[in-house]
Amino acid sequence: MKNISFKVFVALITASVIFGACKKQLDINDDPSRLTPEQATISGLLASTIQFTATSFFNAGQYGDVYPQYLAGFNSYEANIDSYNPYGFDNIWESAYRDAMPNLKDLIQRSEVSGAPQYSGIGKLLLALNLMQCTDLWGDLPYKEAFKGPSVPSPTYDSQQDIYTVSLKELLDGAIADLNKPVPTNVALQVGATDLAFKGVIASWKKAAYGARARYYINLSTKDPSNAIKAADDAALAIDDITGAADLQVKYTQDKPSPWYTNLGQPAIATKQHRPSYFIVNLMNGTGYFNALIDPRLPKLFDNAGAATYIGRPVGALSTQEGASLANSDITEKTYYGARTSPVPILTYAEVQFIKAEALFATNKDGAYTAYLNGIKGNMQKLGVGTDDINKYVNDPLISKGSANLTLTDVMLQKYIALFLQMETWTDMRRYQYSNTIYPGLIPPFKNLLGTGYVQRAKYADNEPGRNPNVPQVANQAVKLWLFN
Amino acid sequence: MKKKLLLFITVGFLLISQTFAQQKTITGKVTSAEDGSSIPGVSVKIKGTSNVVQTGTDGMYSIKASTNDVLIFSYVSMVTQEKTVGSTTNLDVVLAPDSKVLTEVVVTALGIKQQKRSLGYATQDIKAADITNTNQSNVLNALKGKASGVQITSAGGAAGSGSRIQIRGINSLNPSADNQPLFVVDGIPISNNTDLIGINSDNFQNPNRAGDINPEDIETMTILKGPAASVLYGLRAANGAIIITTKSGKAGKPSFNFKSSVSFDDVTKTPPIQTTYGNGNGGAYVPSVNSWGPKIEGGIPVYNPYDVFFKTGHQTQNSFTFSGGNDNATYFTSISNSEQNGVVPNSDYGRTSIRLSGTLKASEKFKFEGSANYINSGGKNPRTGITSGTIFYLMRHTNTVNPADYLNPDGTEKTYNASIQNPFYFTENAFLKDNVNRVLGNLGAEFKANDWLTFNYKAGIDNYTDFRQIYNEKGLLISTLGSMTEQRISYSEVNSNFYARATKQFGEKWLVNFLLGHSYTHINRTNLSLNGAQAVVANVESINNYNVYTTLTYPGKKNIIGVFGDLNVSYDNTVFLSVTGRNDWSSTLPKSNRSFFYPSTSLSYVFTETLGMQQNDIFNFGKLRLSYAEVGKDADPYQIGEYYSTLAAFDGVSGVRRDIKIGSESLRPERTKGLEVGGEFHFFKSRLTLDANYAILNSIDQIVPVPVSYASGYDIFVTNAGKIRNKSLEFLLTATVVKSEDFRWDLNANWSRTKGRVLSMPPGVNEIQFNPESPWVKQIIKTGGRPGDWYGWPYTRVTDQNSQYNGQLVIGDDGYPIIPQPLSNNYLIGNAYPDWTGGLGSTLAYKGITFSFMFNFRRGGDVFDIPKTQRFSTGIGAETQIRDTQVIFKGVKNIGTPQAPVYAPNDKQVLIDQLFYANSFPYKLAPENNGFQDASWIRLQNVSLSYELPKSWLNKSFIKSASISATANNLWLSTPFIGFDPEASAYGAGSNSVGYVGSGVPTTRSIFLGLNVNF
Repeated sequence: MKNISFKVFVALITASVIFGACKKQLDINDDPSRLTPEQATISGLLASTIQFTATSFFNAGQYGDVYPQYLAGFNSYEANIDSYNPYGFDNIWESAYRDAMPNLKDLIQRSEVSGAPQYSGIGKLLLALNLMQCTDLWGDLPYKEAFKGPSVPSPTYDSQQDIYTVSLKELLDGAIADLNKPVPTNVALQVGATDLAFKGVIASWKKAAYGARARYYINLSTKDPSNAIKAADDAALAIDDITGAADLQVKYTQDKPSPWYTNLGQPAIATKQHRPSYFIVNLMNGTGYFNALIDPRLPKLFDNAGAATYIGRPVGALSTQEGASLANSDITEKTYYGARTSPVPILTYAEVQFIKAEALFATNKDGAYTAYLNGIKGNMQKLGVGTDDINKYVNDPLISKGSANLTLTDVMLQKYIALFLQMETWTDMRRYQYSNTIYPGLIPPFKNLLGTGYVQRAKYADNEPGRNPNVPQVANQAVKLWLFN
Repeated sequence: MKKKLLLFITVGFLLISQTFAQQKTITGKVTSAEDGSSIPGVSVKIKGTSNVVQTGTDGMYSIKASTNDVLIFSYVSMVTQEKTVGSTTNLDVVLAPDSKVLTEVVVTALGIKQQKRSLGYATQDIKAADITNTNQSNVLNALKGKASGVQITSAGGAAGSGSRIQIRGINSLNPSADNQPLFVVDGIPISNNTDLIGINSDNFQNPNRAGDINPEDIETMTILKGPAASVLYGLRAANGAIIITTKSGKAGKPSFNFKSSVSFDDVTKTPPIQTTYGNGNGGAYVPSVNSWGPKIEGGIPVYNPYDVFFKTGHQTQNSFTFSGGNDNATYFTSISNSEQNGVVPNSDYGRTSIRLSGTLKASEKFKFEGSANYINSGGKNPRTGITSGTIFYLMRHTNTVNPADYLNPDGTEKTYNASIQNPFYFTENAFLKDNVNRVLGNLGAEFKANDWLTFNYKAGIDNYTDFRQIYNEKGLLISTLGSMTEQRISYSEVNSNFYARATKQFGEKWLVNFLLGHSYTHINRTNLSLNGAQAVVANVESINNYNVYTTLTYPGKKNIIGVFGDLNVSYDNTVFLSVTGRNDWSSTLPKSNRSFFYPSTSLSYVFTETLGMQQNDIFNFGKLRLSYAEVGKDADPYQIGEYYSTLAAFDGVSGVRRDIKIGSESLRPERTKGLEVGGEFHFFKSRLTLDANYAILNSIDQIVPVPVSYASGYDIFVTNAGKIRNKSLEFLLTATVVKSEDFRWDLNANWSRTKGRVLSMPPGVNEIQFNPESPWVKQIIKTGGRPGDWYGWPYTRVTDQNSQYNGQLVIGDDGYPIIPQPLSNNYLIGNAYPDWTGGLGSTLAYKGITFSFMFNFRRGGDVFDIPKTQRFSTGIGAETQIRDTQVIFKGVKNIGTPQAPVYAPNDKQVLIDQLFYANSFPYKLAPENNGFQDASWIRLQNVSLSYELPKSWLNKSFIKSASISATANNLWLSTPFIGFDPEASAYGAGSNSVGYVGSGVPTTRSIFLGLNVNF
């Protein structure tokens, strides 16, 4: 009897040792190369979301810049997207919807739980900027049901009206409110070194938040002019450093070069996908609207390999058509945006001034005129134009024409030049429906796959329809968005 | 303790006592009818008992038996004989060879040999000679065309390039799932990984690790096609298994074999080019632009870039084997070396393998066996790819510039067109070097406790390190500043298998086999990748020469523990029933779901036995098979839950982000359930045999990385979802047409068809796209569709049965064919998997001369020639010969309304010019033009002629036998496909993306001359 129970005991021990060993053998499924959710921090999320936001603002323009005719297709991109070959802005769909926005949602939620209002304020601001950029491209988008994880694998689409009037408003108001809250004493909850934009200077974030809301109101002002004054009020509280030192942007480094450098600055001319268009170059080389006035920003923005004049490339043309072969200007690493360590601007002093100029144009011409001149000067300072050159240009009667003679055309064309490569301009153009009064000399691409008109919207990104049955059916890219109707 | 275990295992067994009659010792010698030589290892058994002995090296045996006993003499590939003892004490037996009869033995799971007649599921054996006769250095390629229901796709003709094998269709919806069978060498699984570089697998034709095996070491390969066949290997054999048995030494004098061959490899099929128009644009001469210029004037030399670029490649293979042994120990050693210079300049591959194996009979009860194999393989291959790369640039090269004139006097690249690279220059400056060091080893012991019970233990390791360098010279279009990656992949797999096997005969007719086992698998793979960007100095091939570095590591570890049982009951050697069960525990699944059980059962019935037809002249053997099996499949490591990753530092600041892939916390194992019926029939004394098989495979609860809308916050949700059904029909026919003393003519044929169907998809997911980077045609999986379905935008055609124009192109108002709009709608245009495949081979032997050939057929299976656009957009492709001319598209115009169309023949004249080919809408969006094509083929896969030197010539020498041979692989190809050989897959051996072709080094034709000497 005793013997049997001893055997049972041994058997049990053996079994449990074997079982224990098995369990140990099987509990090895935690990836040692990645972090658990608990190991992730809000300061780490801030650093990555600022990068993702800048990437999104670049991504929107990488191919999208042919729509506001900053760029014209070149080499394999000749008469391609610039000829309105259907284009879904797939890269910003990825960087904004897959990268920036879910991590911003995460950042906001974590900051609100841990009581870090400045983090949540920045999170809301960046989320609003991403969402506004996206809805300006696509119109209706998932937002209220979005970013809920696998429980909602195919979120429904909110109308653009809903996004503008409810979601963006909430985010921007919330951002300003959060940023104005007292800074927590716990250092871990304070924004600091991982803030790639302002290194923890909350005052700069507040100004950026007012600037973003000014952009929001000016976008809505075409639908409802009463928004113009709100835009002007916010612009007054927004970025006020004329040198551009407090612009919301990400400046790239030697180790992590600017995406414009990688995309256009560095490649050989034979492989560049785009060249500056003749429309932007003509506005600056004295052959366009600003007749015989040479813009000192030309050599800052473009590289013509030392030629006497700057010539842009026609939009939607093949290599030998419409004078395409005469073009000589490029974005190279010698230019402001093509340089390795150039910034990708998200919101600038110059833009705030032009928003103000446009907002005050109907009600306060003098205020508008001052803002218009400040916008030009601010942009020139940012690009590093010398004071003499700035004065020479600004004092030219075509520019310093007096507040009484100021036209919306002046404001919008100067904004167009100052916001070179920024897709905000495309929103402006569509607000004015590509009006030739506002944008004299603008013509549709030579080869125009949409027929005769201008492009009005982005196609939905290629990978979305297969994954989400809720994608709205839109006939083509000539259908106007709610914002521009 | 041991006794109790034995007792436990024998539960359910009845012990039969036996009375022995008067016994005496019988001795004798067993010899071969063929050459009179003695045969060692013949089993001599007393009928109706389990008393058995084996003949020794000299063919002698000795057994105790009584006068009335019947002795059964059996040996693999010999006709079994029965002799009654009678009064004599000396009984010599002559066994006649019969390669194909009823005692045929196959190696199944765990290296267990079973009579083929007893198997209730489909298997196919490939013999050593069939593998080595092809001279293919990669064993997978040697199987091409030979095995029914098996698809082998090589990644192309690059030196050492990998191949992919798939049995009976894909079982997994997961685009990156492993749908390839498990490779097992001598009872121990080994890795057949294709280690990819980065995410895209199109840049290099990476090797598959089974290609490391020296084909000369292989004795047989058995293909276990369905889950029933492989249930004992557990989840890793869910896609079937390739069981390789290596050669071993035979008792007797040492024997030596030396084999040597050399090959001539070339590219025979290249895309057609036009030679009418030279460099320029829009008909005007521009030297720096490709071939849209004016007509080439007489006297100007014209080049076919393919002819200039591809050279004759060579493979040299040498192998030496040495084997022998005595009654108690045998040994086998082999040394082989294979060197290859590719058809692309600057490419090579080499493999050296050293193998040692041996068996030791320590006592009547203990047997040991072991083997060790060291392999060094690797080489250098150019960068290819679908958007840049050697073949891409070659394809864009113009016809009036000699590509071979590519260097300036100062050593820099001489280019005529700045937007492409010279292919010669590119291959010399963008390449992958890899060096694999691999050790395969195993050690096994068998303990025969008594005449019915054996214990078997075997453990094996597969360890390899793969050191890779990917180099891109400074100044290339793909790397203006230069870049280099060093990758160190290390793989370690340990397998341990233990089983106890009981065999017991009950009465005259019942035989029961019972097996109980345990297995343990540990896999640890690490991949450390160091990328350097921005070379400091040009032309320095060292990772130290860079300014910016990124280092990443990709670990992956998993353990699987399994227990299994297998019960086999046979009645009268006629009916065989097998029941198996296995439980696996996998570390990659959530705790609550990581244990899973799966059963299988199979039945085999040799009905000719019951009918007493064994001696029938017309129909002598017939067997029916039926099996049902389930097999589970686990996940890859680290798929469950949510993770965050750190980003590379930006301006000194590191960020973290949430990963875009999230795995369900309640992931369950995937299940494949297979039902199989089949039969094997022999006619005319087995001179004609037919094997037919039908299988239905349902894969449910698939572990799928479901692509979700980015707006959910993720890209991929790993969950259980979806169901695929595959139905396969396979036939295998062999015939000995003529068999006389001097002349023998054998024929073999196989045919198979697999049809997959997606029965359901993950909830909320409409479709899964494979490789969306090819924009114009894409593979989409959706409910009701088939794996491999292609979608695109074919030209609009009249689809009105009643219309006289039915099927004709509808031509738009602009005079061009119409691409259906909007482009968000996709149209089914074909399928990447063939409708059926087949092989037809024959061997004719006359005295010492043997001639054999093997045709390989493929019907259907559409492929997309990805880089075809490079040919028509640059104007070099022959299709652009029609240019700068007015044409009227053959078709109809709609003279009614869109709602109520009225058709009339098109009469609008339009211009076909450079713009037409460059513009998406009239031309390249349509699968009719963009490279989408039917890749049916008839291929002369292999032809071989060998001559065995007459023995009389060798009489006086130490040489036992010698033969010389000439072999050709891929000698002839007939296909409607225009381009390179459509076999070479663009995404290589490790990818499920079947049907993308054209961007890699094309498949080659190889002609070998060989010498084989035995002494």
